[in-house]
Amino acid sequence: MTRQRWLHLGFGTAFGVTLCVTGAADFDAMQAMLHLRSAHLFGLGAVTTATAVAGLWLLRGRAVALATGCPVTRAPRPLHLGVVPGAVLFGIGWSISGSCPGTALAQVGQGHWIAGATVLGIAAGMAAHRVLNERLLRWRAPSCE
Amino acid sequence: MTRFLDFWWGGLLTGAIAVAYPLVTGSMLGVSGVYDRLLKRLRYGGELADDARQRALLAETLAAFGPRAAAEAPEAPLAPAPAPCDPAARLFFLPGIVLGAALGALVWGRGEAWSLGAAFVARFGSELWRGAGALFAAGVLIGLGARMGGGCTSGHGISGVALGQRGSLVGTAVFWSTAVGIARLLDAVGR
Repeated sequence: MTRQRWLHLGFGTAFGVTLCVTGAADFDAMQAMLHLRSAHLFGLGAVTTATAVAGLWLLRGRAVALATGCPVTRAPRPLHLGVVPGAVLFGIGWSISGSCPGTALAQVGQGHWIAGATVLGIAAGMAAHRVLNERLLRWRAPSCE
Repeated sequence: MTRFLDFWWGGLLTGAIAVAYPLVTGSMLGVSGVYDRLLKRLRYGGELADDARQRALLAETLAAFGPRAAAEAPEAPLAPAPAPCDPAARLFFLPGIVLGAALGALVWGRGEAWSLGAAFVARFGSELWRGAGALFAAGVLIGLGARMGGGCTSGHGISGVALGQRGSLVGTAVFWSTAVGIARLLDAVGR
């Protein structure tokens, strides 16, 4: 186990704790937000984004990471053909399951074994996209890196 | 929502992770890309085929045409990943999320194994196959949509929006509005 792996594991752990304690991984809280009955997760998203905007702006000149020496990756996320249909499909799945790729894992960690079905579905959907895109769509869709 | 951390503190904490993660490791916060990396690794094994190919191509291009070549290919990284960067390290972010949530559950309480709570039972009933089937189908849409759209709630919704990326701004607006619309539609159908 290298130092870099420990660092990623540590940040994943911190993110998992955060998803748990903020309610982002809670199905009821997510549904309350999507039904516009609670502003809690809207507020969470807004403060998170504002903090990230300020912090990443301060980091804009940094090319190399402090602990790993790896380049700081800022992969562009251009507006391409797949963005709108992909976001529509994602939004439907998010609304039904009340989770996204990160929160589904957090739900499993919280002891909701049933959320394993969401995780398996996400993996199946990504595998299906590979086949669909290679054989039919041929859209350039950068990953969430 | 009193049982959760206040959204001000929660947002500051999550935002701080989104900033500290690239500062310390070099990687932007984004979860669906790590799933994709994991799937590629399971499929190809060992060194990620795409990464190795991209690095080799980029090294040859830079050697032949100089640094200007990288600037003319805006989607390519500016330099090949240096040797000390472990391409598999990012994969450890995923078990970290599970571990972190398990630690959080020690304080906040464990969840029900075969349900996600009262709203979940109200929507899908108490039969396991219905709930699990719906979650699997929703997961397929999430995975397909995240790859097709090039991001998810963390990659587009936090990192991409914070960097002002156009694809992320549009993608985030579309998936939030779709999710709210579908929730209301499901309510209307369920009544």
